[in-house]
Amino acid sequence: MKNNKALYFTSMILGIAILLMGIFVLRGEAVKSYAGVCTGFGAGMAAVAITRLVTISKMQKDPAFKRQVEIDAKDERTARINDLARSKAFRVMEIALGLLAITYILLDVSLLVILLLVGVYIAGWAAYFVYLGKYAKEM
Amino acid sequence: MKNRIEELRKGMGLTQEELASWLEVSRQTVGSLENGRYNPSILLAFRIARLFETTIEDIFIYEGDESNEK
Repeated sequence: MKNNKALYFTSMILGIAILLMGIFVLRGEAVKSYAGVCTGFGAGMAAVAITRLVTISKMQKDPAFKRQVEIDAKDERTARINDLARSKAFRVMEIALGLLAITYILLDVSLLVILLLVGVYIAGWAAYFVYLGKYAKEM
Repeated sequence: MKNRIEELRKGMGLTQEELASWLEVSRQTVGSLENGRYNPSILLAFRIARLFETTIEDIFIYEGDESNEK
Protein backbone atom coordinates (compact mmCIF):
# COMPACT_ATOMS: atom_id res chain seq x y z
CA MET A 1 0.00 0.00 0.00
CA LYS A 2 1.45 3.35 -1.02
CA ASN A 3 1.93 5.80 1.79
CA ASN A 4 -0.03 8.58 0.09
CA LYS A 5 -1.71 10.29 3.03
CA ALA A 6 -2.52 13.51 1.13
CA LEU A 7 -4.36 11.61 -1.61
CA TYR A 8 -6.41 9.57 0.86
CA PHE A 9 -7.13 12.63 2.99
CA THR A 10 -8.40 14.53 -0.08
CA SER A 11 -10.38 11.45 -1.09
CA MET A 12 -11.95 11.30 2.39
CA ILE A 13 -12.96 14.99 2.34
CA LEU A 14 -14.35 14.66 -1.19
CA GLY A 15 -16.25 11.48 -0.24
CA ILE A 16 -17.79 13.16 2.82
CA ALA A 17 -18.71 16.23 0.72
CA ILE A 18 -20.44 14.04 -1.91
CA LEU A 19 -22.21 12.09 0.84
CA LEU A 20 -23.47 15.29 2.52
CA MET A 21 -24.56 16.67 -0.86
CA GLY A 22 -26.56 13.48 -1.45
CA ILE A 23 -28.23 13.76 1.97
CA PHE A 24 -28.79 17.50 2.42
CA VAL A 25 -28.49 19.28 -0.94
CA LEU A 26 -30.13 16.97 -3.47
CA ARG A 27 -33.64 16.85 -2.05
CA GLY A 28 -36.98 16.24 -3.72
CA GLU A 29 -38.45 13.66 -6.06
CA ALA A 30 -36.83 15.09 -9.21
CA VAL A 31 -33.28 14.43 -8.00
CA LYS A 32 -33.98 11.38 -5.82
CA SER A 33 -31.92 8.99 -7.97
CA TYR A 34 -28.95 11.43 -8.08
CA ALA A 35 -29.14 11.76 -4.28
CA GLY A 36 -28.99 7.97 -3.94
CA VAL A 37 -25.97 7.69 -6.22
CA CYS A 38 -24.17 10.52 -4.37
CA THR A 39 -24.93 9.04 -0.95
CA GLY A 40 -23.69 5.57 -1.91
CA PHE A 41 -20.66 6.74 -3.85
CA GLY A 42 -19.66 9.33 -1.22
CA ALA A 43 -20.02 6.86 1.67
CA GLY A 44 -17.98 4.24 -0.17
CA MET A 45 -15.25 6.69 -1.14
CA ALA A 46 -14.97 8.09 2.41
CA ALA A 47 -14.96 4.60 3.97
CA VAL A 48 -12.14 3.34 1.71
CA ALA A 49 -10.10 6.52 2.35
CA ILE A 50 -10.59 6.32 6.15
CA THR A 51 -9.61 2.63 6.17
CA ARG A 52 -6.42 3.43 4.21
CA LEU A 53 -5.59 6.37 6.50
CA VAL A 54 -6.03 4.23 9.62
CA THR A 55 -3.82 1.50 8.10
CA ILE A 56 -1.11 4.01 7.11
CA SER A 57 -1.20 5.55 10.60
CA LYS A 58 -0.83 2.09 12.20
CA MET A 59 2.00 1.24 9.79
CA GLN A 60 3.88 4.37 10.82
CA LYS A 61 3.55 3.54 14.52
CA ASP A 62 4.20 -0.19 14.27
CA PRO A 63 7.12 -1.33 12.01
CA ALA A 64 6.20 -5.03 12.48
CA PHE A 65 2.66 -4.34 11.25
CA LYS A 66 4.11 -2.35 8.32
CA ARG A 67 6.35 -5.27 7.35
CA GLN A 68 3.42 -7.70 7.60
CA VAL A 69 1.21 -5.49 5.41
CA GLU A 70 4.00 -5.22 2.83
CA ILE A 71 4.60 -8.99 2.88
CA ASP A 72 0.85 -9.70 2.54
CA ALA A 73 0.63 -7.24 -0.38
CA LYS A 74 3.31 -9.03 -2.39
CA ASP A 75 2.73 -12.60 -1.18
CA GLU A 76 2.69 -14.71 -4.37
CA ARG A 77 0.12 -17.24 -3.09
CA THR A 78 -2.32 -14.46 -2.15
CA ALA A 79 -1.79 -12.85 -5.57
CA ARG A 80 -2.42 -16.19 -7.27
CA ILE A 81 -5.56 -16.83 -5.23
CA ASN A 82 -6.83 -13.34 -6.16
CA ASP A 83 -6.09 -13.96 -9.85
CA LEU A 84 -7.85 -17.34 -9.81
CA ALA A 85 -10.88 -15.92 -7.97
CA ARG A 86 -11.12 -13.02 -10.45
CA SER A 87 -10.81 -15.43 -13.36
CA LYS A 88 -13.68 -17.57 -12.03
CA ALA A 89 -15.73 -14.45 -11.25
CA PHE A 90 -15.28 -13.26 -14.87
CA ARG A 91 -16.75 -16.56 -16.09
CA VAL A 92 -19.69 -16.23 -13.69
CA MET A 93 -20.27 -12.59 -14.75
CA GLU A 94 -20.16 -13.63 -18.39
CA ILE A 95 -23.01 -16.13 -17.83
CA ALA A 96 -24.93 -13.75 -15.55
CA LEU A 97 -24.77 -10.90 -18.08
CA GLY A 98 -25.90 -13.24 -20.87
CA LEU A 99 -28.86 -14.46 -18.80
CA LEU A 100 -29.71 -10.87 -17.83
CA ALA A 101 -29.70 -9.80 -21.49
CA ILE A 102 -32.08 -12.67 -22.39
CA THR A 103 -34.33 -11.80 -19.41
CA TYR A 104 -34.44 -8.13 -20.49
CA ILE A 105 -35.40 -9.15 -24.03
CA LEU A 106 -38.17 -11.46 -22.72
CA LEU A 107 -39.42 -8.71 -20.38
CA ASP A 108 -39.55 -6.34 -23.35
CA VAL A 109 -37.25 -3.82 -21.64
CA SER A 110 -36.31 -0.75 -23.70
CA LEU A 111 -33.83 -1.32 -26.52
CA LEU A 112 -31.42 1.29 -25.07
CA VAL A 113 -31.07 -0.67 -21.79
CA ILE A 114 -30.49 -3.93 -23.69
CA LEU A 115 -27.91 -2.30 -25.95
CA LEU A 116 -26.11 -0.80 -22.93
CA LEU A 117 -25.98 -4.25 -21.33
CA VAL A 118 -24.71 -5.86 -24.52
CA GLY A 119 -22.14 -3.01 -24.74
CA VAL A 120 -20.86 -3.86 -21.25
CA TYR A 121 -20.69 -7.55 -22.21
CA ILE A 122 -18.72 -6.77 -25.38
CA ALA A 123 -16.45 -4.32 -23.49
CA GLY A 124 -15.59 -7.09 -21.01
CA TRP A 125 -14.62 -9.46 -23.82
CA ALA A 126 -12.73 -6.69 -25.66
CA ALA A 127 -10.67 -6.06 -22.50
CA TYR A 128 -10.04 -9.80 -22.27
CA PHE A 129 -8.66 -9.98 -25.82
CA VAL A 130 -6.58 -6.80 -25.35
CA TYR A 131 -4.88 -8.26 -22.26
CA LEU A 132 -4.58 -11.68 -23.92
CA GLY A 133 -2.57 -10.04 -26.73
CA LYS A 134 -0.56 -7.89 -24.31
CA TYR A 135 0.51 -10.78 -22.09
CA ALA A 136 1.12 -13.11 -25.05
CA LYS A 137 3.67 -10.55 -26.32
CA GLU A 138 5.24 -10.08 -22.89
CA MET A 139 5.60 -13.76 -21.99
CA MET B 1 4.25 -31.50 -5.23
CA LYS B 2 5.85 -33.12 -2.20
CA ASN B 3 8.71 -31.29 -0.55
CA ARG B 4 11.06 -31.31 2.44
CA ILE B 5 10.38 -27.76 3.62
CA GLU B 6 8.87 -28.76 6.98
CA GLU B 7 11.72 -31.18 7.68
CA LEU B 8 14.39 -28.60 6.75
CA ARG B 9 12.61 -25.82 8.69
CA LYS B 10 12.42 -27.94 11.83
CA GLY B 11 16.04 -28.95 11.31
CA MET B 12 16.99 -25.28 11.49
CA GLY B 13 14.76 -24.77 14.53
CA LEU B 14 12.53 -22.25 12.79
CA THR B 15 8.81 -21.70 13.29
CA GLN B 16 6.50 -21.23 10.29
CA GLU B 17 6.29 -17.52 11.17
CA GLU B 18 10.07 -17.17 11.21
CA LEU B 19 10.47 -18.98 7.89
CA ALA B 20 7.71 -16.82 6.40
CA SER B 21 9.51 -13.71 7.59
CA TRP B 22 12.81 -14.89 6.06
CA LEU B 23 11.14 -15.69 2.74
CA GLU B 24 8.97 -12.54 2.84
CA VAL B 25 5.75 -14.50 2.34
CA SER B 26 2.73 -14.98 4.59
CA ARG B 27 2.64 -17.73 7.24
CA GLN B 28 -0.30 -19.26 5.36
CA THR B 29 1.92 -19.60 2.28
CA VAL B 30 4.51 -21.52 4.29
CA GLY B 31 1.74 -23.78 5.64
CA SER B 32 0.39 -24.42 2.13
CA LEU B 33 3.89 -25.11 0.80
CA GLU B 34 4.61 -27.60 3.58
CA ASN B 35 1.30 -29.39 3.00
CA GLY B 36 1.99 -29.57 -0.74
CA ARG B 37 -1.21 -27.64 -1.50
CA TYR B 38 0.70 -24.84 -3.23
CA ASN B 39 3.63 -25.08 -5.62
CA PRO B 40 5.91 -22.03 -5.42
CA SER B 41 7.10 -19.90 -8.32
CA ILE B 42 10.61 -20.63 -9.52
CA LEU B 43 11.82 -17.43 -7.78
CA LEU B 44 10.39 -18.47 -4.42
CA ALA B 45 11.77 -21.99 -4.93
CA PHE B 46 15.25 -20.47 -5.41
CA ARG B 47 14.85 -18.32 -2.29
CA ILE B 48 13.84 -21.41 -0.29
CA ALA B 49 16.78 -23.40 -1.68
CA ARG B 50 19.23 -20.59 -0.87
CA LEU B 51 17.89 -20.22 2.65
CA PHE B 52 18.38 -23.92 3.33
CA GLU B 53 21.72 -23.88 1.46
CA THR B 54 20.73 -26.67 -0.88
CA THR B 55 19.27 -27.18 -4.37
CA ILE B 56 15.67 -26.97 -5.56
CA GLU B 57 15.80 -30.66 -6.58
CA ASP B 58 16.83 -31.56 -3.05
CA ILE B 59 13.75 -29.83 -1.60
CA PHE B 60 10.99 -30.45 -4.13
CA ILE B 61 10.07 -33.93 -5.29
CA TYR B 62 8.58 -33.91 -8.78
CA GLU B 63 6.16 -36.80 -9.27
CA GLY B 64 4.81 -36.25 -12.76
CA ASP B 65 1.99 -34.08 -14.10
CA GLU B 66 1.05 -31.59 -11.39
CA SER B 67 -0.51 -28.15 -11.39
CA ASN B 68 -1.72 -25.38 -9.06
CA GLU B 69 -4.88 -25.00 -11.16
CA LYS B 70 -8.17 -25.71 -9.38
